[in-house]
Amino acid sequence: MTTAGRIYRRLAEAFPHEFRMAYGDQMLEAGEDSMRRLANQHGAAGILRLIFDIALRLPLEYLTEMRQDMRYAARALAKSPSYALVGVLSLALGIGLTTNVYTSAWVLFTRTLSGVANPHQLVTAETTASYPYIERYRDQKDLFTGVAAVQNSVEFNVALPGQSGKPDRVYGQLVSPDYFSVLGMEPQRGRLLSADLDKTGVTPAVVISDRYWRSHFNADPDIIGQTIRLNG
Amino acid sequence: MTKVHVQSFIPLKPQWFHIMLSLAGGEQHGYGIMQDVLERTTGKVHLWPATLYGSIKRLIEADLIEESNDRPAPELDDARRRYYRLTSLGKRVLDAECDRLQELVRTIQVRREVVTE
Repeated sequence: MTTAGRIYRRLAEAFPHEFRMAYGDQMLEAGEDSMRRLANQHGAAGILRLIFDIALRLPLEYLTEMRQDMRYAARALAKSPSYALVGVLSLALGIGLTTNVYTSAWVLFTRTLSGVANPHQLVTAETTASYPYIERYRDQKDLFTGVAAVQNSVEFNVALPGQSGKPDRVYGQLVSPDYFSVLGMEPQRGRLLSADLDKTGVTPAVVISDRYWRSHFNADPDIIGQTIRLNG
Repeated sequence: MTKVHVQSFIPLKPQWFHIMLSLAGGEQHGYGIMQDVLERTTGKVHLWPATLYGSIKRLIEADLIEESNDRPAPELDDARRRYYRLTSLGKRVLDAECDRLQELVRTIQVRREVVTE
C-alpha cells in the first residue's frame, strides 16, 4: 500500500464508530478505487484532493455526532426537569469543587510568594523537624544561607488593647526569629523579629498581618508600641 | 408530509441534489452514485468519498433517501455494498428542486434574450 493509501486508511479508521459501522468499508473501498484513477488522471494533486476531503470531513462528523448527542441529551432532560435539575446541580457542584481544588493546588505549588525577596531560592523540608535540628541546620553556614522554622495553624487567644471580656480566637504561626530575614521581608510599619528573640527572658514579639491590622485595628497607623495579650 | 416540509429542504445543497438526481434513475450504491455524477457532469462535479458518504448519512437522517433491500443478481452483486433509493419525500423534494432550477434557467434565458436584443 502506498503512503497516501495508508494515510487515507488511517483517516477513515479515525471516523466516529457509528459512521464507520455504517459507511466505513464503502468509504474505504471508494477511496482506494478513486485513488488509483486519480493518480492516473491527475497525479499527486488528485491524491492530495482526496486526502484533503477525508481530513476535512473527519472533524465535521465528530461535530455532527456531538450535536446529535447534545440534542438527545437536551430532549431527555427536558422530559424530566427535576432529574435535569439534580443532574445540573451535581455537575455544577462537582465542577466547582474540582476547579477550586485544582486552582488552590496550582496556586500553592506554582505561585511566586509575594513580598519574598528570592522566592526561587526557598526550599522547605519534606518532613517536620524539631527545633534543635533547625538550630543545627542554621549553624551549618555552608548548607543554607539562612534557616527558619515555622509552625502553621497555631491557635492564639488574643485580647486587643482595651478589650475586656472574652479574648478572640485567632489562628497564626509560631516562627523562629530569623523567619522574616530568611524570607527577605520588610515590615510596612514598625519592625520585624530580632535575632535574640529566642533567648530566655526576652519579651515576646508579635507581627500581625496587613489584613489583621485593617480588620482589628481599623488600619490605625499609631498601633506600634501598643500591647496585645496572647494566651494570657 | 406537508408542502412546507418539502420547501424546508429547498434549495438543496449541491451534493445532495446530485446524489438524489442519481437515485432518481433507480437504486444505486455509493460508488455507483459517485461514478454517475462524474459521468453526468463530464467530470465537472466530483463527489469525493468522505463527502459522498457523509451526505448519504445526512440524507438518510433527513428521510430523503433510504437503504434498499433489493439487491442485483448475485453475479453482479457485491455483499459489502449498500444500495440506496429515494423516499417518497425525497422524490417530492427533488421535484421541487428541479422546478426551482428550471424556473431559474427560464429566468436566465429571458434575461439573456433581453440583453442580446
